[in-house]
Amino acid sequence: MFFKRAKQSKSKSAEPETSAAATPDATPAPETRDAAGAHTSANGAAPPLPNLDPKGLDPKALGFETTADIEPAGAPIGQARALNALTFGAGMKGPGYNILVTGNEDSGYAATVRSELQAIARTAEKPSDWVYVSSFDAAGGFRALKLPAGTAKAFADGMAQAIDRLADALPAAFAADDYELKRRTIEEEFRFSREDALETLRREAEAQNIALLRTPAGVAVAPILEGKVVKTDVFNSVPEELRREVETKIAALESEIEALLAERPGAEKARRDRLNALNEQVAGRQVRAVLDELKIQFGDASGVESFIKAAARDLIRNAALFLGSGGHESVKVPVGSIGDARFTRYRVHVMAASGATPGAPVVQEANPTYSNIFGRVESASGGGDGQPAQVSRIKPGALHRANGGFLLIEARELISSRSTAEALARALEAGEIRFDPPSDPVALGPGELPDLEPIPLSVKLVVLGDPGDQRALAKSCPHLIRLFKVEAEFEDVVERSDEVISAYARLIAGIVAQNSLKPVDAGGVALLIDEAARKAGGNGKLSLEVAHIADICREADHWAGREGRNVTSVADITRALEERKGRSLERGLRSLS
Amino acid sequence: MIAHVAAAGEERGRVVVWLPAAGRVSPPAIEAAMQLARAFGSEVESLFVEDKQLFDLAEFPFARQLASGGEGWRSIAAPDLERELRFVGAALQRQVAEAAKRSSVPCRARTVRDDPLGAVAKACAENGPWNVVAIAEPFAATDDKRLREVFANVSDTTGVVVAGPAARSLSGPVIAAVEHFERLVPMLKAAERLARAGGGAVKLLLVGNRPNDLSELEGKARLLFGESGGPALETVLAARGDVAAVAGAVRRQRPSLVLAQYGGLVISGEDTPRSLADALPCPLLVVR
Repeated sequence: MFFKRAKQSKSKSAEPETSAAATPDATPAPETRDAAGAHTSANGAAPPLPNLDPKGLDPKALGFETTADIEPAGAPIGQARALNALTFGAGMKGPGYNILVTGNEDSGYAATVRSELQAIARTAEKPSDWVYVSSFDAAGGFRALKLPAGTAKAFADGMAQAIDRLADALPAAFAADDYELKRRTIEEEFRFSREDALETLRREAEAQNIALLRTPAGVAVAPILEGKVVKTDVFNSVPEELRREVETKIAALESEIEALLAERPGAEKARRDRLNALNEQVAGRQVRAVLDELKIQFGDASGVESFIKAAARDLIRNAALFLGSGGHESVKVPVGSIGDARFTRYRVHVMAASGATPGAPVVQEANPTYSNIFGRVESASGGGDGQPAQVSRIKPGALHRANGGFLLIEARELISSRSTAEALARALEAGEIRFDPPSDPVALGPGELPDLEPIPLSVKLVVLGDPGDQRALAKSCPHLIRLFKVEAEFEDVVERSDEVISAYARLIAGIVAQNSLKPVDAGGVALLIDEAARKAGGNGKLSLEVAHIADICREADHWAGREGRNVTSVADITRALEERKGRSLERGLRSLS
Repeated sequence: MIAHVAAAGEERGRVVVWLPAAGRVSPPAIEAAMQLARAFGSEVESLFVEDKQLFDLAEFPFARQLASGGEGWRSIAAPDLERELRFVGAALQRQVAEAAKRSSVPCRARTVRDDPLGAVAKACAENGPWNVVAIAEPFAATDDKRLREVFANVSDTTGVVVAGPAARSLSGPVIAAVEHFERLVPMLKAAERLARAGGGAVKLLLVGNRPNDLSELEGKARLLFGESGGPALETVLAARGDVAAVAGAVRRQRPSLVLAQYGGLVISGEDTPRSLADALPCPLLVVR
């Protein structure tokens, strides 16, 4: 027999695949890949040749009853050169070693590329995390902070929790009696100084028969007699000397009032300054207590300490935000947490965060729009008049997620998004992710886009497509294509050989396993291999359109089920092929009618 | 005294909101007036008094006023004064009418040109059997004299509502600050009606000049309440009418209104360095 299912033993991890074994009892040997991508036994024993009947493959020659008897294949057939190029490109350091992968969509090469890159990425170094934080400047910009791998989410959560705690702690601190007493003391001191001065003035004036009267517009001074304003005829009846004396007194008093009221703006400023100092003292104590914990935990990362200091300054200055609105300034209305629009500027926006999976990321972006690649900025409110909008969320793009690893994109998707392709080329050339959308990606006007500090970029771009797509991409975006120093070309067909047939049978076993299908008997496998030969156009080759073979397997499985069989037989494969042929003919006729 | 109002369920009284010519009003004082009217089912009269002395002053050739906005001195001419007062009066009366509408309290407005205190006295004399005057102008630190004048000259008033500059419209309990046992029940009943109208609780603050007197007052109060326990009770020793001690105890409760007795320890009716109204975070209803 050609095939033997590997025993499920510890040898499996050390020897991931078994090649054809001569006897049922033969020990599985480690597998290597030859130049053609076929599998040979590491112990040098060549598998027995199958009986290659020109009219069709003899099922007996396959050496197994059903696919359940053989080890499913884990590697593609006949793609050694492409895989070597892929491995080379993935491992090469330096700019421009991006990888252009060409292949036929039906061959399943994209899945192979993804799987190979994931294997390579698993052993690579885990990249750092990145976050955006407010720079707390007037322009509303954001700084990029690099954090140790796996800490970004904890840092963001820590900041959110800090704001939550302040939402409780600050109102409580401002509601405390000692704060209220201090605040009142300042207010009283200010008020007493003004009112005492006015009262003194009033008493002095009354002693001179002059009254201070409040008018709708301000204050007036009037001559009085027995507590009432003197009538003009009475006033005019007194000697002129006395009248002049009263008028002089009134003029002097008016000057004093003017001087007293002129001092008010200065005194008012002093009052505000003292109240601000008190507020900062009370808020500062709470803010520092909460943020110090964050500093201890994350302060070693570059830039984190200065961010925390800036955030603390801003929080102290804006402590009133936590006190809610309505009524007395010391009446505390509980406010929400970091989700509250008032606190969005304290949010830590996670742009890249390593999860529990080891190694570097492998990210495939199926829809490479600008915002899907470079991220997106969501605004909460504000903006207008060229002012920066209040940013509520900065969402990472595929570049952020793939940074330090691999980004896979279909060539045909890039062709239809030329401006994104150009932006991608610029990012790869500059080695940084710069948020500079060609047009407003999110309802923010052009003058209102926040300034996001660029994030250093180290990513391998892997563009997948058939030769036609790759040519179209080269034409539409030559800048981008120049950045691919490695090309991995996946074959459509493979030369038929004993090894390839063995591998093909294992490939079919793999399809069966992956799709949880009923085992295919040897006759069915032989027929499928014949179909691959037919699809390749004869000439001793086999087609590598795995998707086609997989479709037939699934459909045959369906027919086998209908017949109540536990094994997909040659009859089911035959029926699947005939049904497909019939449907194809029907489609053709319909298109003609 | 307001006691008979609370006890007899008398509902033919009136709350006179005294609106000043100077134009500054305290919204909490107006709200307190509405709470009072709602509690006792009475109406509100917003009385804007154009101080006739201002017109006497305007006749002088040298009469001028210093605008508080810092625009400097300008002369006072009777027509200008008249126009300004009309606008100020209309604005203030609209403010009171809106507050009354919010509180579903009947309200009527009146404007008179008179000596302010005389005008208030006349307004109260026209109606009975009880009136409460709400001084809408913020009560200044040195305004005890004015309170004394109201109680002395407006004989038909049962009580006076004042609100200091620190007063705010809050939704806390109504506190009855009681100094004498015989006042306890009527003041408590009045406080209960006010609390019901405001949706808050009632708290009792027993104020004494000497520890022994205070203990005796507390003992009698607890005996009166018996097993029912009565309202939440706190005692404050206010030696020589220590306003700060009472104000501190009141502030801790964050009340919506405080009832206190005129001519007692904390509102003596004499010149005091600082008034209780000035120190409170809420309006104060001072009863005879």
